Amino acid sequence: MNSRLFALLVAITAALFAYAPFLIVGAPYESTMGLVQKIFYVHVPAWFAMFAAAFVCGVGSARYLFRGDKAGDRMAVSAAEVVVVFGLIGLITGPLWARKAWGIWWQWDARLTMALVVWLTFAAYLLLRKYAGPGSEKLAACVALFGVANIPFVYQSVNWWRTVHPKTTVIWSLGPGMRGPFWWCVAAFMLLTVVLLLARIRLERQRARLDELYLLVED
Amino acid sequence: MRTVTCIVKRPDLRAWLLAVVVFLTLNSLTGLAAQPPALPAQQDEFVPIDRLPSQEELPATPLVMIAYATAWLAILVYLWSIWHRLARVEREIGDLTRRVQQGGFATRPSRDQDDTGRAQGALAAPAPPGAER
Repeated sequence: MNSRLFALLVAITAALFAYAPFLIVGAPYESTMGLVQKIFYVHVPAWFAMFAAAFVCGVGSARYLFRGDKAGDRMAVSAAEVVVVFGLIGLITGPLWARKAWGIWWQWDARLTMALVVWLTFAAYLLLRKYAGPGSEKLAACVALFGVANIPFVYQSVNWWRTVHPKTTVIWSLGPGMRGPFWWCVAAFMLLTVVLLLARIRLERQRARLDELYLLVED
Repeated sequence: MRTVTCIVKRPDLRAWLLAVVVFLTLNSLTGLAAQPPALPAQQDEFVPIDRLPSQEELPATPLVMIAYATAWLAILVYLWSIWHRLARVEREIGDLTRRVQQGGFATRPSRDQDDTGRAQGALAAPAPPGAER
């Protein structure tokens, strides 16, 4: 990617994140939860970013698995790391919110458990890539596809099963005071996902280049 | 009665008796002073309330601050990690290119930094002739 375009993307992302706190502070309080509901503006966008990165990982894995596309594999391993980072943010901010809103840190209901399982799946992907040795790429790609297949169930779990977690309809029914800051934060997290993915894919490309250089020297 | 009269008449026993009386009096006084405050009335039922008194509620501010701090920290640490790894790989590429141009022998450093597992296979020792499938 053009480095100037990448710098512009980084600048826009930084600007979005810099202005987000002002919007979040100005957003109205929720009637039953009060201040703690403000975690919403980082918790939900982090999960959205995780879902987007998981989708990219799935596409990359499928390309590598079915077409042998190395670029797809590089994209997948890069995206899997981003998935784990955003999933970690979601898994830490969620219990902090729950402790105040529900009186408990964790509830083994459908939404929370499935979200944890998806995060563990992508963590397993990275562990496979790191420790399973040569040939682990295809096995890891299969794991990634299983992880991605779980995403729609995670999203819909609050609508399909009875859980303590709020339904997905809360997002689409947000009042005007909350809607703006929320979508602003979603945009910031999505752009950050793109920036992280591009940077991480560049790292994978450079590693591949380094491998080629060493092979060239050894030949 | 004769015993009491005997004790009162003997000065050494009288002193002992006085000491015991003073000790018991002081002991009871300090015991009274150390008594716990009056206990609240015994409850015979639990009365539910809709809202916790404000001084009992878990404050939300630290939770919100920890949540935002965690998010920022995770993002910044990950950004630093990418930047650090990228700088190392690009430095290695630069070194290798320079050494190749100078005709030097390049030996591959340990790949424990590589977290993909990909390169381990790529740079494994060459298979013996005829071993290829």
